[in-house]
Amino acid sequence: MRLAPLMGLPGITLSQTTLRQNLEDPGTQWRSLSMLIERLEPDAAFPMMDLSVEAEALGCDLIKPENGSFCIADHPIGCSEDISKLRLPNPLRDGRLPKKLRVIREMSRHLDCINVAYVTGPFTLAGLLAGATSLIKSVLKNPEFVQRLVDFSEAVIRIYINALVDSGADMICILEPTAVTLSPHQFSTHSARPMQNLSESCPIPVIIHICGDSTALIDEMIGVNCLGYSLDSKVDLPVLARRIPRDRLILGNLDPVAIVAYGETEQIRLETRQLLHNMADKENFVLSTGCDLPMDTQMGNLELMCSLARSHFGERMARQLDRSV
Amino acid sequence: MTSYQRFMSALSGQKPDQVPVMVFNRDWAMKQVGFTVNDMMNGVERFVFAQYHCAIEFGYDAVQDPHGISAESEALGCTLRIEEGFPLTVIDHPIRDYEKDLSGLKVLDPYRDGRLPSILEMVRRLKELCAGSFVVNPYIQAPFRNAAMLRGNDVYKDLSRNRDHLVQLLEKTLISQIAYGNALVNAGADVLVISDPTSSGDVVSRAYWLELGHEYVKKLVKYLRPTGVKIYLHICGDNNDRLETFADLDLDGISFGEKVDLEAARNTLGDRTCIIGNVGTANLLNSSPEAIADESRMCIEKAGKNGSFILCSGCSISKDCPPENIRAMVSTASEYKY
Amino acid sequence: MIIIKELEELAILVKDGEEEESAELAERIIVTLEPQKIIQTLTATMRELGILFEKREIFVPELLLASDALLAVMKVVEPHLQQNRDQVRTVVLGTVAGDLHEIGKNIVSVVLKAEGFNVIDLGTNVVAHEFVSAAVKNRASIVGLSTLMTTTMHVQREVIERLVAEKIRERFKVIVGGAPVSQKWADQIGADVYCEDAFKGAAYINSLP
Repeated sequence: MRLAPLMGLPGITLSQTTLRQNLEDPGTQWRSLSMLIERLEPDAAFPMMDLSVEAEALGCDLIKPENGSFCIADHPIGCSEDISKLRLPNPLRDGRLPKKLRVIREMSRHLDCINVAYVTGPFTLAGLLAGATSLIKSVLKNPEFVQRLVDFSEAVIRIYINALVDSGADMICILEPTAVTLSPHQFSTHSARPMQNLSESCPIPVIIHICGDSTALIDEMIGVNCLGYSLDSKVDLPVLARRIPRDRLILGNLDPVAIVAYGETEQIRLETRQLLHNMADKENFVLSTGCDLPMDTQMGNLELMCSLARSHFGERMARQLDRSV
Repeated sequence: MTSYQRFMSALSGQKPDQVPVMVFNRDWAMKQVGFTVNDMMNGVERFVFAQYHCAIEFGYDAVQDPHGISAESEALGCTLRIEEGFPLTVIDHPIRDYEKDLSGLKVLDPYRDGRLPSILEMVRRLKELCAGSFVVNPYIQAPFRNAAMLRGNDVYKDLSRNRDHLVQLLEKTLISQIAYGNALVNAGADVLVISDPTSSGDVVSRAYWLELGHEYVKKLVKYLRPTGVKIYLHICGDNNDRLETFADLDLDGISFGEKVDLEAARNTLGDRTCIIGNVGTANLLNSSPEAIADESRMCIEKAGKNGSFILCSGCSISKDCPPENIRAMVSTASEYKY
Repeated sequence: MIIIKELEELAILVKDGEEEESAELAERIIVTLEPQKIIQTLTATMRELGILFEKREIFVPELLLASDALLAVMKVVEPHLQQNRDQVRTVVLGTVAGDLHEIGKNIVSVVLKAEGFNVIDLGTNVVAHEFVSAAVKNRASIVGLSTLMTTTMHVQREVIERLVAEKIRERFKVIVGGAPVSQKWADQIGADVYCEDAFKGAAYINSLP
């Protein structure tokens, strides 16, 4: 795997649909994704990022704009007692979980590339249930509450992962953006630990994606035994890559908005080449975007990024073959 | 043809598939990728990337090293001014008094002295990236230039008043340049440019050029030839009165500054010597792309109609040179029909 | 001397995020102390927290608790302040439409209040025209736009486009922030600056003439 941009939403402009239609109807989402993947031919394909599904399946109300990400409208968990009122969801029945499974099934049936399913990370899901501000404060004021809620979230995600595996996912990507607010020790306790459990029990490879500047957390992330780490554009990837073992993948980290979505052609060429150049000696490097690409990403930019990557990796392989002969 | 093949063909006196192009650039390339002078002086890979990226992005045919013509001087004891917004400049000169200072002047060890090891690393990395695609073309000072940096402007007085000492200095600098040139070739240089702006017709008489500048370039070329590397001389200024003197230096090419009449140079030097030049650097900074295209076409018409020519800037371009002017040079060269 | 000792104690309580104790101490010392001295202590404390945050000795949890403590103290002190609002710089802040994240924005709000600015916090999910009208209505000089999602960053651009269209762009400094935001993005959309955290934002605003 060498090229795996975090892209799903740009398919919406190809299918001329709305984000809401894609998040609510799996057929529409699959159509949008298939047009995008056929055009760009990445080594790994992701569905549309949607951190609301697990929380919705647990009973949270959502705000569902026509062309905006779905957001949690309320946070039902205020204390430990509230956690006991939650029920573990049934992914075949609750909320839009069955619809997500259907998208993965379509991807699995029709795609030759690796198909990756997203799940919301345990600390992030806990933050959606309790409110991120409240949860983060509780890390210091009421860590037992945080631990209980994170443990519950871990159980929810585990169930969902099993269903995704049954639906044909080749790989799981755990999205854990809220954890970037934590200290390394806090992260280790409330995020790395449950992610380690999820990775250990998952029969297919797992990668972790944390948005923002996760530099301070890299050692603890490496402590999670998984296939690899997807890092955002704020981190200095070549510097961090020195600490990541060679048997783990490093995915990243072109700026998805300023460069890939809306950048000028010269900027794409410069930034992509520069990243490929700086990571040239890392066999475990996969070119990706630092985070999810927005809907109105210029298709020409994406095509250019992908073609530069293919050309670079193709040339490297040719040189390696020359040397081996 | 690849850029490498095209450039080498012209440097061998032949007519390639299209007119090759190069640009003397250092901080300009760094600016295109958003790096600073400090980045350039302190980071091998940043400079390597800047050169490689700009060659691909702009479509010219050779990549170079960052110091131009100051690295050896710094390694021999000169102080370099490294300041954002300014080209690298030698600002002091260690051979103030021949009696006191000349005996202490060492011979360069390119694998240990000053920034030379990092330049060799840059050349090695550029070759790794560019082998067969772009020509790797680092700089080496002409012995007289090296001497001038070590002596400062007093070197011009030495021409008449202190000739013996100057010759001793030139003999020493020659050995340093031979050592450095060999190291550059071992690192992977495809072509060396011997740079000698200090011997230009703007400052030195034809006679002095022949006696000293020319003499020591000839010696340097003689000692570097056995490596098999291609070599050309870059000499700025008005050299119209001494064009025939470049014929016996055993060089593959001569790069002239914008004051030289390229047509006269071609007529004097014949078809075998590759002529390189000479789009004006001030024009590249200030003129429009259309004007640059016209000037480029004129250069090709004067000296490149039958090949054996590389379109080039007359000297190092400013870091503020508009990128579209470089594109205009490259597109004019690629559209020209021999 | 007693007063200095109590100000030191207040600083420690705020830094440690002890909301109730901070407020109680503030209630006791406001009786005898100029309110401005307490505000100065809060400003200095917040700046110290900024340094610790930059050095990664504290993280968001510690900042949030300290912010709560600081706000609790300010609630006690503010009624006693005799500030001429006209001389105080006004900052309009919010998280852009489609985005409900608030942590970063809230910390910015507290830091700026501690620095003595008048902060109009529009909350989250704020549409472009609301930023503009609030900035005009409140005679703000700075507009701060936060977003944590790549899908909503375009609203930051829309705010600036609106300011330009209404020919009032020059009246405001526009600061953008949030995890996916960068200086490149700020340059592309015509914002004045990208600030990677609340403290850099405060430092930028303080540096303005």
